[in-house]
Amino acid sequence: MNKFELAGLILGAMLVLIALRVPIGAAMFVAGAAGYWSVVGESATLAYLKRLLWARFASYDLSVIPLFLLMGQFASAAGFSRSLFRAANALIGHRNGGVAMAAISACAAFGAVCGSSVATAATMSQVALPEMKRLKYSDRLATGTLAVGGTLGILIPPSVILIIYAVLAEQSIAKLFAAAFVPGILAALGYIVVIAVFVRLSPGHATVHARASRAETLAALGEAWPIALIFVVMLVGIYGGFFTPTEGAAVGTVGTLLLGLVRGELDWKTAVSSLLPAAQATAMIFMVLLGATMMNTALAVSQVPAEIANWIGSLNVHPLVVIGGFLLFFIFITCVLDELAMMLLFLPILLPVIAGLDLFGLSAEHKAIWFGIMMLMVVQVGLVMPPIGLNVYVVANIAKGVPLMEIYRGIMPFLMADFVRIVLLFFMPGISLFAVYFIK
Amino acid sequence: MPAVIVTASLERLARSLAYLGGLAVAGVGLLSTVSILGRSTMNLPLFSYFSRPITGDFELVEIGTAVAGSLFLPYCQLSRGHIIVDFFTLKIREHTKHALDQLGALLMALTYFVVGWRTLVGCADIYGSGETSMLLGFPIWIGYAATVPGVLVAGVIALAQAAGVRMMGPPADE
Repeated sequence: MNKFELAGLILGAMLVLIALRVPIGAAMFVAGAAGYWSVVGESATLAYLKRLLWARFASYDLSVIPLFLLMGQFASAAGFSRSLFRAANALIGHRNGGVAMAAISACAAFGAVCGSSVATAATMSQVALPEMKRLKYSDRLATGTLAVGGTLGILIPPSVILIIYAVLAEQSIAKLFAAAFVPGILAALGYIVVIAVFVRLSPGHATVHARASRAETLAALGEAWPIALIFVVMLVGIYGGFFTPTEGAAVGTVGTLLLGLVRGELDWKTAVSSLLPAAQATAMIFMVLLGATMMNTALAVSQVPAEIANWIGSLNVHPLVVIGGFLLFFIFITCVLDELAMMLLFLPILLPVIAGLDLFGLSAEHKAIWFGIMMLMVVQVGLVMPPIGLNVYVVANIAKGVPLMEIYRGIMPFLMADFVRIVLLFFMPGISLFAVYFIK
Repeated sequence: MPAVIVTASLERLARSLAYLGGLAVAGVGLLSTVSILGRSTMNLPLFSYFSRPITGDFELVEIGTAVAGSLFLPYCQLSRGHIIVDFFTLKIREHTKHALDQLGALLMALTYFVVGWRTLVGCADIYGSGETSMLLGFPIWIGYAATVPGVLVAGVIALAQAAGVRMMGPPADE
């Protein structure tokens, strides 16, 4: 058996297992370990496995995952989404489509304390959907806005998906966060522009109402600023090089918990029970990373990723065509595979390829960071794309009675903003990368 | 012993281990926060007497993360929190779906037991060689040993699920 047959067999076995509902971590581990065994033999495999768990789990970078997940849980349980939405609504809610714009802004702010798009979509829907319903916004606009707004949870740092990318690609979390910041803001602005254009072009989806009084606005802002303070301290600390991402996450988590407790929005019992969902998600991520590590090791000894990289390098096509092809492939794949699964399965093969391409003369590090951001955008689009847009289901679950088709229809205009942003970042990596130069 | 009692105690054990892991995460969080405070105030007057960065905080965070991660595994397995792809099996019968999920649990159990067993062997090796962490001199074998219980309990839970024992009710989407 030559190495290509072997790699094909390993990957094939893994894909069959995954298609049969076997948890991805186990599918990658079992197929990877068997493949590794067949190349290096029994004793080397057993020796490798002795260190696998510790090598994967005892990682400083991974410590941010439970912390950020816990912070997101605290922020959701404490109802930070309500304060943020109220403040944004007091400022811009009176405009035509303003409540939807406020929901997007609040999603962006919540995304800065939460690294998950599902959590952001769920918690913001609970506060913003009833308000939009009350003000006679159409279901289409309201649900579309929240499904898309939720994706700001992973676009705007902290972002769990980006942390996993950082671990897989062995890149700095702080630099990736910095690179994601401007694209995240651009995404939020793009969505707001879409809402403004949409309500103008097709009247009847939104309403105009009276501006909040000065006193109401001040009260709402007074409630929201401590939350803003938490993420400002956290992000300035991380970007400024004062904190490591783990320390930033720790400060954010402790700050969120304290604020919730002091304001009486959290009690100890809720805080403690917030732990279980965070524990579950952490274990899920750690386990898939364990499986991915085994799989990568097996593929690496087969040398097939390196061969594929060489082969693509020898093709006479422009590097951007290659990257563009990957991204299109990813968008297609997100229709069948979960976004996290997609990253874990394809990054080990693609990263060596990208390292070998000449892209705008970028350094290896900057290429990896830029591709991470592009990938994040694709994942984010995948979260709202038919047929399995995870966020769409989350919103549908809260907006009882709104058909899925109606939500997808609401999402369509926003996809145009996503498309424009992806193309922009694709041809101008500087938009995202310039921020990396400021990171020590 | 009736199966119900075994199931109930496994569930309780998984939750307790998750909370224990939560303590480890809280430890990591507090340690990092204190370390920042110590570092940022050590040049201020008065503070300089007692403020200093924590030596080896990176090592402690690593150990805490590994232990917490392993202690979260049983609860994740119990609540079927591991990520699966159901796109290709959306239209099959419930009965077949359950059979496949049992296969999945069996392979999870295999993974847990293989990894747990090898980590235990690795632990013995490292105990013998006396490997310690760089700054604190913390014996690494203790870290290895602390990750094993979570992995093995998760393995037992997965094995029970593979044998068709129902725990924590069916997943929410059914």
